[in-house]
Amino acid sequence: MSISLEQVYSHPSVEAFGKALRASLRFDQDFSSLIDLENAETNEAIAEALKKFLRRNYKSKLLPTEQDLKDLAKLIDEAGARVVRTALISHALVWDSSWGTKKEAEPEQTKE
Amino acid sequence: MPYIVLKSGMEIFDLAMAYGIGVILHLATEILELEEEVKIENFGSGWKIYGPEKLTKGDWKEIFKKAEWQGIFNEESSFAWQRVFFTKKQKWRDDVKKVEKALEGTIPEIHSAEPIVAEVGSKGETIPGPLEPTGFKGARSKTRSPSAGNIKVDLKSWALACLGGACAIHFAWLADGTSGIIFDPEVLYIDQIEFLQNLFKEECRLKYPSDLVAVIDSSLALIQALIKRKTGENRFYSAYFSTLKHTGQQSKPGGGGKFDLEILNKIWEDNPQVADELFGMWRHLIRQGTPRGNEDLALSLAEFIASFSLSAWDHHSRVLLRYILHKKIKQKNQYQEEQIKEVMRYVH
Repeated sequence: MSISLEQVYSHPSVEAFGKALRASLRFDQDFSSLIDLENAETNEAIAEALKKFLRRNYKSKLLPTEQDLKDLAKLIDEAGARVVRTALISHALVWDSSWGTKKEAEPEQTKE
Repeated sequence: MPYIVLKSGMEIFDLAMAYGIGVILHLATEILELEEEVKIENFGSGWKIYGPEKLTKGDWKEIFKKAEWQGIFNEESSFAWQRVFFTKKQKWRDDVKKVEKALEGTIPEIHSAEPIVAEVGSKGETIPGPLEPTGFKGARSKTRSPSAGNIKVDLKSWALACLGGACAIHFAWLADGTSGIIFDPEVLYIDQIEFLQNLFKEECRLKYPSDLVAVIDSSLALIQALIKRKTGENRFYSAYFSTLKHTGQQSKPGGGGKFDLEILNKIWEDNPQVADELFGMWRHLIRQGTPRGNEDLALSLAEFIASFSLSAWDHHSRVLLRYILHKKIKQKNQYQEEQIKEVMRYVH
């Protein structure tokens, strides 16, 4: 049985990567990672895109753990690259309630 | 025993007939000061219309004399007669008079025990285009003469459907035409029809980039009104739409379809508050995606709401993310965690 988008979206590793992607896009304008992710059609390509994303954002406070990375790799094998990619991008759409009503330009969330 | 309209296969036409009977019965209850409430109920293969059952020919004679009855056929009437008979151009008033005369001749003969079904054939009255997308000459096959290829129905069904269409079809403006939208009720109390007419007039007056965007915006506005209990206990199954594209010379049929409200209704039932916020946000995105240059936002959202498929969501999320990153979407109009989780439940 295939895994639904809802299940993938709520998976802890996807949540960890999704939140990190959300912050890096909004505060650090990391559009290269978005393009890499959007163009990742295979399991290998999405793994490569995520590695690049981690390298670009190594200073982020929200950086996922090694365990998240392992869990996500397992999930990609189970659910497929397409669903995981869509779930990650979906996380980026959400306005994080912890940001409150602050302006998006304030990069307090991600940088040390 | 209720009046019954059976489906003949022409969805918009059949539904308009049911609305037509409902409007007439509602007017009868108002004129004769009867207590019965008129409501339409869908039973799958047709509609039951509950209302006063034992109206005599004398009652009808009295009703037809009243100004309220004659008022619905006037030019000042809120009914969209001109839109229904738009192919008649300047002669649309003649057809309105014909509807009035036909109804006064046939309505007293209608009995609740006898189901009404449109008799389609080569004789009778030509169905106006907005009441049946395939009714346009040339839409089904090549036609060589001006009179060939029309779909014709019996006079009674034609008059009822024209009346129902004029009061219940919401005509939305498109960038390149108009789209007629009619909602198929699970239950509808006819006294709410004026409220619905005003709702669409006030809330859905954009120039939409496509018919699908128009039908989805109207559906969201309707369900938001239902959530707020502004329309009582009414519920709707789906929306049918028929589109006309404006060309240099005259309007041409631009297709039609059905939009199922099942998932929107489920979201509403699950959590009315989240549904209200979510639908309000979607309507904002449609408004933002309506001006030229932003159409991709409204189109991708409409495509997603129409299907709730993974590929449509994938497309919409990419488009929306670009608008967010370009700071074109305000914080209050972005997804909250609870809203997006509700959406995810229905993506397949």
